[in-house]
Amino acid sequence: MSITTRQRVAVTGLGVVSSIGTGVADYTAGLRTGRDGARPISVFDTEGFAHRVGCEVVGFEPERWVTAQPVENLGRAAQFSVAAARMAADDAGLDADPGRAMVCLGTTDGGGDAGERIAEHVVRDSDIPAELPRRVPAGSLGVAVARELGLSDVDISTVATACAAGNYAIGNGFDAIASGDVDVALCGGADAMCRMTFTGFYRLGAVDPERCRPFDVNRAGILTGEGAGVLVLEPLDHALARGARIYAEVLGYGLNCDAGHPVAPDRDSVAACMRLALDDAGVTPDRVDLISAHGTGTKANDTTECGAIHDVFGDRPPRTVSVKSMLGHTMGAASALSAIACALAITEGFVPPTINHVETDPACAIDCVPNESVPAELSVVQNNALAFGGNNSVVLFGRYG
Amino acid sequence: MTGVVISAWSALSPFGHGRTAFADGVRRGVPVDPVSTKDDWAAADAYVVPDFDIVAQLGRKGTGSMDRTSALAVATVRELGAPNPTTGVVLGTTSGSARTQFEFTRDSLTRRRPYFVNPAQMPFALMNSAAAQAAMWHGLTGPNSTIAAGRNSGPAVLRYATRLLRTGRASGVFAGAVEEHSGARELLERGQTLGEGCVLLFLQTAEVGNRAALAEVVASDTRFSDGAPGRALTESLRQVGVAADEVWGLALSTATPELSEVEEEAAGEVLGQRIGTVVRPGRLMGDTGAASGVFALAALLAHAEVDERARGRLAVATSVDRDGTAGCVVLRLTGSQKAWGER
Repeated sequence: MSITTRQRVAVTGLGVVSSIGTGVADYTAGLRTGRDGARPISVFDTEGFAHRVGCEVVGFEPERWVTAQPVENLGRAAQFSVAAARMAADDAGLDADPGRAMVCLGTTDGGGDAGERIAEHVVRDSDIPAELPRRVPAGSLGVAVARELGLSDVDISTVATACAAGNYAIGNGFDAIASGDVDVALCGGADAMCRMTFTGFYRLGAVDPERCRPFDVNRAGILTGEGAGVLVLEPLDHALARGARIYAEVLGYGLNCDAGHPVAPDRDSVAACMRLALDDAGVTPDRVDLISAHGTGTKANDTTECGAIHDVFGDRPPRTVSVKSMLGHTMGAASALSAIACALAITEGFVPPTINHVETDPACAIDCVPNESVPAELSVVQNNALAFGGNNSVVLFGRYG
Repeated sequence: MTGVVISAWSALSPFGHGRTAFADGVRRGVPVDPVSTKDDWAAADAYVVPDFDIVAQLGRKGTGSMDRTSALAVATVRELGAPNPTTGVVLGTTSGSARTQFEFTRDSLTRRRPYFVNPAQMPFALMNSAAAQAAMWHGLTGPNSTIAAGRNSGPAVLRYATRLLRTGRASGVFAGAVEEHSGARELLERGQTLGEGCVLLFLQTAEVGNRAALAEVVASDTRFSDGAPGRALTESLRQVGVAADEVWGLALSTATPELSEVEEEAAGEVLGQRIGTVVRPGRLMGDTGAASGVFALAALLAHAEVDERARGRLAVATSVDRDGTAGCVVLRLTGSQKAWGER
């Protein structure tokens, strides 16, 4: 980084909506006990698909969280965003006027589920309900959060870098805090399950019929999921001055683009992104205690990602887990929920497991902490995210104190 | 001061292909003729990029399922040429290619099996497709981001891209925005005549050895005011703190009467009514959505090229959207006329 005097960045608040638990306590319990979010999909019609399992959020009550705007104006992903941001702000104990703020949320589909309904109305020749077009713009995720939290001096952006978007958002927040652009950043990601994503992965033969089993020799693909994760970032000095609880520090991050295949990850490029992040954080590979992998559970992803991990970390890489085994692939929320898992692993002293695991694929050759969490003192944890389009992002978290 | 400069720009716009077509068009100030369009989703008059057939422009390889948004971005980077493989790309959007998303959904709903969709279409349905394709076609391995900020994408993209450069994460960035026209977008944006296009600025830090600057990015700021984008804009303009008598030119980016009124009033409240050059590209080529704010910047650069009075002075481009977001970008014009993006 060319700015030599960057401030240290603390994570002081977490908010979660997920299929394995909503709120920090419930999510932590889910990660620790290896809860599985898989269940039959109900949010769209799955008639005609041979299998129809996904990691859906059930029992979500938008009215509980959306109070400053009409609920019907928000799509499901924006509702998740509002809920996770409110939880994170409360968890951090933020003031009503936190100063210069950032809201940066990553997403794959934004309001795409509303777009699908519009397309369906046209196909079925029925009238399009007036509220549906309002829910479509992806920018509505960040705006809904700013509105709900009453922020005005705010740098709002919705980062639409597909399945790595959560890490992109955290990276942007890290730079904004580290360089003094803003005083507080609410960063993360959100997505709602939609037909398009499910159908696309299904057609590619990349949806597992039953369960998500990353790194397993018999893995058969992703399960689509949904949810939101938001982290509150602020200058470490500020967090200390106000006596905030510090979950972890963001040490640095890396971004790059494969500029190659539209859907297949590139081993060298993924390795390069990890090295960028390690350099930015000033951390050597031997200091990394845990990798929360992108770990989708597809044949191609897990083999390529583990290959890149071996390239960077050598023959004995750190434990490498996939929280997608529990949460499914929550798209734009995925690396945000994974980042929160990293912060909780550091604070609570455990490694979340890779569930549904029977036999590790020799082509992966990592210790994925199968099925049961283990206690561990963790100093540095790495969070990987790879996306269609070759958008890679890796974030490093460290223990504070 | 951001320490970031604009050293080139280009566009594919309703005026035609390339920088010169757009620059001549906005300087002439005569609106483009809208054309009648019709597809499976809607019929409408719109301002489209002329003669832009994807296969004719980019060839057959890799374009069979490509969305128009991505194709416009790939072709606009081609206008500029890629200076360095570690260059980044930051593109603004509203929701990506609505047409591709709608077609994919329709196929799933109407074919004999719900999964009889075209798998090659899937990456093009995602919002990051345009930036990713621009990288793929031109070998750009730097940071590659897509910012969905609707009509406020100009200031949002500039704010994000200048941060990437200031923090040393990229050696240069193609920063801009792209919006396609389609019947699907008509269903999402009723009540105005839509336009389309892609516009890119090449940004670098102002270091010795970098290319000559057309302008320096003095500030890029975004604000939010629930239900009151005009107030967000006045606060943003006050935040960046430009002195009205330093301002040579103002670009108002909105195209619809209702938003134009809000934008014009807010800009006038802070900057006064005496700015010599005021440009409104949206009145010439319709509502280009996410691209409108960067088109406004390009319009200022086009006018400054031929106006001696611009040298050393400030240019301000403003944006507002219905959701209450607003922002502005302030440039200092260097007076350098030779841009390497000229073709």
